[in-house]
Amino acid sequence: MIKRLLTRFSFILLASLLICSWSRVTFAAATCPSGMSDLDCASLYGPWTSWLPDDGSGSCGVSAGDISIAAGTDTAKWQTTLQPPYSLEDFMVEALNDLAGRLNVQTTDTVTQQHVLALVAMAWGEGGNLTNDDIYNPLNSGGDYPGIDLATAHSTSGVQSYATFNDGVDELARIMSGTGGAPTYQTRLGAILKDPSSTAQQFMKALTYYQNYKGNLEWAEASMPPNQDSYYQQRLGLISDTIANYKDRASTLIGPPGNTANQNLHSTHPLRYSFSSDTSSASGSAIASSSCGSGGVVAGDIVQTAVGLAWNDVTYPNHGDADTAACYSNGEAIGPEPSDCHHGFQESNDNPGSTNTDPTQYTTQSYQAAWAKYNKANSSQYTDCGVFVATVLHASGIATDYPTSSSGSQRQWAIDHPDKYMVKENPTVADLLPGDILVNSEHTFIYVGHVAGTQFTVAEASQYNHSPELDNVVSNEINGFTLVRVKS
Amino acid sequence: MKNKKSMWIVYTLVIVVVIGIFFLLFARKSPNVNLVASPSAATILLDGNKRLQPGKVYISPGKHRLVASFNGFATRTIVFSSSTGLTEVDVILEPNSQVGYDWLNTHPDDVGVRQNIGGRNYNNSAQTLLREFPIVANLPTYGPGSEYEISYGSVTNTSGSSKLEIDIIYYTQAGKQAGLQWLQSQPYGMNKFNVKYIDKTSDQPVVDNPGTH
Repeated sequence: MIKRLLTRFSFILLASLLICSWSRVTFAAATCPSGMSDLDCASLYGPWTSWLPDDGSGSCGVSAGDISIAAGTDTAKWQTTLQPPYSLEDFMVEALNDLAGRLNVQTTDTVTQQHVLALVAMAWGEGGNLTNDDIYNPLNSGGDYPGIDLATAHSTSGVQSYATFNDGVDELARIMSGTGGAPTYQTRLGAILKDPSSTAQQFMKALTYYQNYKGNLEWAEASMPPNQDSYYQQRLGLISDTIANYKDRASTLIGPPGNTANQNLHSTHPLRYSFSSDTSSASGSAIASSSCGSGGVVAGDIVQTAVGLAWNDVTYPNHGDADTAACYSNGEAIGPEPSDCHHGFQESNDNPGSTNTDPTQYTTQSYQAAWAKYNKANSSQYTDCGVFVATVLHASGIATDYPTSSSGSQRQWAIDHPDKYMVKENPTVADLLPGDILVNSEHTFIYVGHVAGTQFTVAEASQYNHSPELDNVVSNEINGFTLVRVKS
Repeated sequence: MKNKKSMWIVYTLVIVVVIGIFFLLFARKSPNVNLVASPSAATILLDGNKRLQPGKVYISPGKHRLVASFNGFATRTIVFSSSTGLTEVDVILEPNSQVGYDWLNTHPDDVGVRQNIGGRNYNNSAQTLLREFPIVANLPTYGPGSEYEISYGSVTNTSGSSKLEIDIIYYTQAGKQAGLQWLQSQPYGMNKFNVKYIDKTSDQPVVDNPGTH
């Protein structure tokens, strides 16, 4: 009798577990928001959700602060093996090495080009040590924890100056991991940085929208509502600009006498990373180089999706002209790039007047896939500017109800939906932030900032002129356009 | 016999003159203007009286005035010069009411026409700007500590010299100087720029918040 009861109980327990597991998978698949990155989803629902399809509904059962992140484990104070003078890149690489130990992951997980880029860009926005006297503190941290020595008396302003390079590095690793006496207000940053596949953009997103993470607080008051969207866009701008000036910025001296960027002081250490579009100069030399990215859709990111769909993964047919072979656009050099890069589909140049019915000849594979999935049913014109912008917005999940074609209708839609879009008529170039859409009844395109590895700033298509591509300059004749910025 | 021969010569001359007059009056001249219009059904009047249809037409060389109108769109006047060679004249009307937007929504071919022209014009203006002022490939740029941003504006032409407006947006007084120094360090020469300072020192963002990090 007891044996039968135990057998039944075991069966019921097993069935319940199976149902629970299924429910969790279903719940995750059904509620993973289209605007949320895989990383965020994985943080919320577990890594197994990454293979689950996004339902594209945009609906989400996630409320503010739902993402929980455990603090790391304290380790011994960081002792660098580097010799001074230290560069900003040195500082960030060492902080990421320290962070790996505190989060119990490999240093190859935390020390990546994207993570270093994110931290260097963030430092350039904060200006610590670079434009003030608070040495060894490029992110303007305020931590005063056991074992961390200050260079000066504790500052009640919230920004400290640290005694040594190791003190500054260790403080930063502690605050991002919630260890060594540091509060857990910034643990989301450590969670992003321990994922080797996370991007600088994802880091900035987590940095900005802190309230999505349980118990986390803002890094900067400027990122608090209602300024979050503009703060995020400015962080994206910092990334773009840091890529274009990486040697100069990453080699900037960290340590005494402070104000090192203002005084143009640089370390002589070789830099670990480089970007091929970097036109800046510094004393350090690079030992690694970026290359074309993998391209494609990046959920929740207009810029990355626009770039991914317009560029990167195309198998471009060799037309035997210089345009295509070496990442040149319309016969004009667009900057030093790896020779395996391909971009640009100068439709009219290759076949003037053609409507090009075969998209495989002129578009990226990722755009073909995204267009087929999100927009083919609505328009046969894959080279149309409005179709391209709509495909980017739909595929990224940023605005799945944006009109699928016709720039005039898209402009009117944005104007009619002030709850979703910030609109400015007759903008100037100074108004633009990465991810902004410029639109009028004749044309539309996306401003993407300076794209890694290139001098591109614009992603666009033009019907019967060219398929989606990246261009290297924003025309100053945009005062007839409407600037549309998607509200988060 | 001699009179008969003279008569034949006269007859021949008369026929040649008549045929010449006929050609001068009625023969079609080669099109020299390609008129592209959206809406394609817009009413287009040449010099106030002659109605034109989109497509290739002949318009006598010289300066002309087109007035285009269509319900739901803003009326537009275009002054252009035709020549013996082929000239393209784009007549794109901007929708100014829901009627216009609805018309575009139901005429995708027209949308294609206007976006073809709009995209081409935009690309041309961007590349022209880049050729004349290569500094724009590096802009906008941001200074350390977000102290300044440098962007650009319109091009002005005075005394045959084109200058690009460079906007130095500064958030601190030091940023103003640092922004100018960055601009001066570029290899393009300051005489190509109209530098405009935009004071945003009162908008200085708070970049730190005690107690949270």
